Amino acid sequence: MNFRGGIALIRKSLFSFMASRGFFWTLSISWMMGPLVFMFVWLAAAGNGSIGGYNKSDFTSYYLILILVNQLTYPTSHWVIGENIQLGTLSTWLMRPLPVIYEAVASDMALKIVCMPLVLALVVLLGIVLGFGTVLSWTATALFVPALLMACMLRFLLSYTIALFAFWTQKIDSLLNVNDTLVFLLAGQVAPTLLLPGILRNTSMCLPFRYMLGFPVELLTGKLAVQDVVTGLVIQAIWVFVAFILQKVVLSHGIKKYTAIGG
Amino acid sequence: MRYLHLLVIFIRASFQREAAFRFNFAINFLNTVLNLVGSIGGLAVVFHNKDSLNGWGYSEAMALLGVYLLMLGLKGLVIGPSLDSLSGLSGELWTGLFDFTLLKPIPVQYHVSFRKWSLWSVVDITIAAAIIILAVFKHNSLPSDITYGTYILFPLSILISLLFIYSVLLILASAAFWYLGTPLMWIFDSLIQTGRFPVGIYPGFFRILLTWFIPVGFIITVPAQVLSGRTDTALLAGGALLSAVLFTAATMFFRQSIRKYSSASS
Repeated sequence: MNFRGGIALIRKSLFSFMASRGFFWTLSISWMMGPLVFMFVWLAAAGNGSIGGYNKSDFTSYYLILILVNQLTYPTSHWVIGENIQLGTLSTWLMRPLPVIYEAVASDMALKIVCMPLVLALVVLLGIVLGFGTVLSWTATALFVPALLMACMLRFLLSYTIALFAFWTQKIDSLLNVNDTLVFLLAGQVAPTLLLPGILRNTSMCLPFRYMLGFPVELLTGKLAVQDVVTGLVIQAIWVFVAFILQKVVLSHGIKKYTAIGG
Repeated sequence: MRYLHLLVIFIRASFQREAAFRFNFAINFLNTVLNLVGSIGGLAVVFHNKDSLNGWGYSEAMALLGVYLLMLGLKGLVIGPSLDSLSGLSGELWTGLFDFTLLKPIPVQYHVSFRKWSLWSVVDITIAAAIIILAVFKHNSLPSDITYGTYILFPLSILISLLFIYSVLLILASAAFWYLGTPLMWIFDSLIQTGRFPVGIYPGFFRILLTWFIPVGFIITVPAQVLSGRTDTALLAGGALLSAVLFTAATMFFRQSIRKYSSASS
């Protein structure tokens, strides 16, 4: 582990991102819109009753926390990696005495630091306007931390791995879009995964997408039984492990295919 | 006549440009399919749990989704890509290539609004139209509401919506002259997402915002209301008036804004 190098990379990205924060803030507002739309849809659908054990106040807290978790887990470096491989600018990363993954992790961390103040302020404002009613328990909060960290790692590692396939295909955007749509449908943005219709729900329980976003939110809002929490954390850990190995294998094979273009 | 001739030239040039990247066509196809799966899937999940949403049934909501996709497709056909090549990411304002656009002997606003066509959008528009037709005629809850008036009022409402979209985008594209470096046109793309569902589901403040400031309500909900046979004539007339006012304001703002332009070269 080379911490000094990592921190230097984070600082580098942070300064360049801060310079164009208007750009990234516009971006993070557009990431908020999806969950926000579905929050209002479910609030209207629930009316004064409840759907699948969620009433109005539950939906509000679920989606407000989801907006924060979405911001914290959403990586952006994979778009850049695909492009760097295609254009041959990955060479700069390869020349550094640091593993390739450092650059990606650093730029994502920097982006989160830049976007978080805005998103946090907007979510607090929405919480005041709409009324945030859920009381968070200490145990749930304590368990939420590892779940959130693993969600970050999983979402990052999977999109990073997909982006690395650009070594073979050159252009990879379409596959990254597939990934985003699956996250949109199965990770708990369209609806809390517990409300998905039968087969989709069971699928989402096994696939990695729920554990990138919906699972930590359900955990924190206290919607899961103790047994579900334990199972969820175990599945999450397994997926993180699988994605980590996958990333290593794909990188070591892909790098041999790499041919930088241009001079 | 001269303008029509120019239009043909713009379309031909765009087609040639797009045909050069055939691989992109395949990607576009995948994107279209995914978009469709995502949109219909989202709607299906909501209506799996609930029969009606704020008085809108499944088929009516589906017709609304069709209108939403239709407006996105129409925007993506020419207005979106054209204005994007002006104020979007690495557009002419960033690169300074707007110099050449200003020098051309045709009206600037006409040129920047209609020069770039994205022909893939024709597929998006066709799919959207198919969804609308299916939603209107296949489901039992609707056909009785379709009268001859609908055939006139629906195209009319779509035209009003287009004028709204054009005016809002032109204002955002012009604002980019003043706030260089901020992708303002993305604001439209993120806010239009709220149009996937009837504007009535949003609580007070947001509904007012979405009706009068970023007129998503006028752009998508009103045509969908016409389709499901609950045309609000007053709202339609008001929309026509408002869109005309907005169009005039946008044109004036654009003329003011291009005076701000200060090239990019040294």
